[in-house]
Amino acid sequence: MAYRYYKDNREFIKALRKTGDLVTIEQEVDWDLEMGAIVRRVYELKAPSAYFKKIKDYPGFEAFGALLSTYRRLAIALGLDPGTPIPEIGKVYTERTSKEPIKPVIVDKTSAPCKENIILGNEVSLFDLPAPMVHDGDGGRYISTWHFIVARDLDTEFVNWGMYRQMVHDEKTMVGPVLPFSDMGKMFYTKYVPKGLPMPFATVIGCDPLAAIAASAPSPIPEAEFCGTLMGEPVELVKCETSELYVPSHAEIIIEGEVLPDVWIEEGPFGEYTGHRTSPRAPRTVYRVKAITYRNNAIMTISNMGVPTDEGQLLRSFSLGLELEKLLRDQGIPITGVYMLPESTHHMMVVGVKPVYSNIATQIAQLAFGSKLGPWFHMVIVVDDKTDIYNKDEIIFMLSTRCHPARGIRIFPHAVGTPLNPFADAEERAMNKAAKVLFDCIFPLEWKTADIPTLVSFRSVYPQEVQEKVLANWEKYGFKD
Amino acid sequence: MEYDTFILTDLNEVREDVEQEMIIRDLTPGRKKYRCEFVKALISKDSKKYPECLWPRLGQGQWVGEPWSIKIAERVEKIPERFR
Repeated sequence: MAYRYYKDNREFIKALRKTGDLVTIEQEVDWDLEMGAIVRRVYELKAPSAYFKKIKDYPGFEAFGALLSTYRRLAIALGLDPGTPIPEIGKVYTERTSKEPIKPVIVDKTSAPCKENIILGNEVSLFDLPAPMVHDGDGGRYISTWHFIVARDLDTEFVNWGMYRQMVHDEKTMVGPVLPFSDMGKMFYTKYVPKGLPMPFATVIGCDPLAAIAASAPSPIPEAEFCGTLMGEPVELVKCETSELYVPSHAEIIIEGEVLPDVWIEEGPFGEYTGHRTSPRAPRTVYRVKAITYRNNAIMTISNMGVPTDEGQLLRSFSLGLELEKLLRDQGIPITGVYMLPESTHHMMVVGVKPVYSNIATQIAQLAFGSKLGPWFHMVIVVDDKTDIYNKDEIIFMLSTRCHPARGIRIFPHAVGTPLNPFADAEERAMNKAAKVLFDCIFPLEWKTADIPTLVSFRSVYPQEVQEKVLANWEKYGFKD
Repeated sequence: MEYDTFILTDLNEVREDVEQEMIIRDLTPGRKKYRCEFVKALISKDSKKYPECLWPRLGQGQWVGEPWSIKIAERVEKIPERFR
């Protein structure tokens, strides 16, 4: 059964407009910093999405920024009421994605909107697309900030959709980091490079919102099938012009080509999701472009990574937290839930657990840091089952009062990290190293009951009848709400 | 013409007046602004020494301040022929 969803960004734009979550900008904007600055301010004010109708130098193209940077917009993308609470959104997501994966269907190119314009060979120029200069000081124009790259394993034919940033170098060349522990990095560096083979790729820009959610989710299910589970029906894919790869037929822009072995070009710097421009300009992976296809009046998507909260931070936090929750539940840990704070740029994982045995927090941290998802975060906070893990104030309170500054903090010094960690030194960034830390906010089980501090709150230190009386009389006392 | 480039070493270590390979970005307004290319060029911190303007930036994108100058000797193709 299909759920309510939007098959492309054009339908999603209409839905956001209807709920008041979109501003349409009719006046011309400059792709050179102005568009990026608008989108950045949207995040910082938690303002509606920005839909740009006119882009300087690029008549016939539009752009769409900050499309999924709030839980409201995430709820709308999933076909839910915009006011759906975070735990409920998580429940829906987990229910849908725990069902049998749904294989995509292949459609003919005559019915694929992304084939309305096909540019091949010598005619191809990346400068014909309105790639924005996102931040002043970036290493170049970042054409791929909210997108995914399709690539296929050389041996197993496993297909990966992943978000890897891409900077325009010249007409036919893009450059970007592909970390060795990422799915595409493993495919390329362990399969194609040793044989000296180029790896076909297709960059999908302006995909529908659920495809973007699937591409940013760290799930073991192939993303096209994962996307189908979110839609409740198969994703429509169409074959590429220059390779055996398949891309969503309703996407706005497709860039096809090859990732080149043993060729390196300097890329970056770039303001990233950690809220800093951290990793320096350095030689990185090279993409050579062979074809571009796009819809009429194509809508470029733009995300502007920086201080929280952008859609990468929000979606990655959301899906990382839920995947870690599945992992811990599969291991039989009696957790109440996992929440990754988007404001932590998905670096801080909060876990609620029933403390049924000693050092359960250490076990949680070891499982989380030791998993495939471990490189992407470095802080775990474990609280008891009575704490609301979605309430930032409560988490700060628990961290400040229940975590012993010596025995409550456990350091894991030699772990895998990313080069984007602002706290890492140059050697750690270059070698993808990191340290991790656990904040254990559970009172030791060996403490006598009489020694356990009592929480002093309205809910915990008044008899039920007193609480009910106060609540029933609240407005009569003169308080509002 | 105006270009910029990223200096990945200490500014004091920049070699002036010797031909060297580097990436420059074209700052001409329009669709191709920020196009990158490999060149062999002579550079100087003296803004008047060579015919074209070169704005230096540090590795994290910071502006250095005053413009330098550049003389491009040769354009260099870095993509192997079999992939072009």
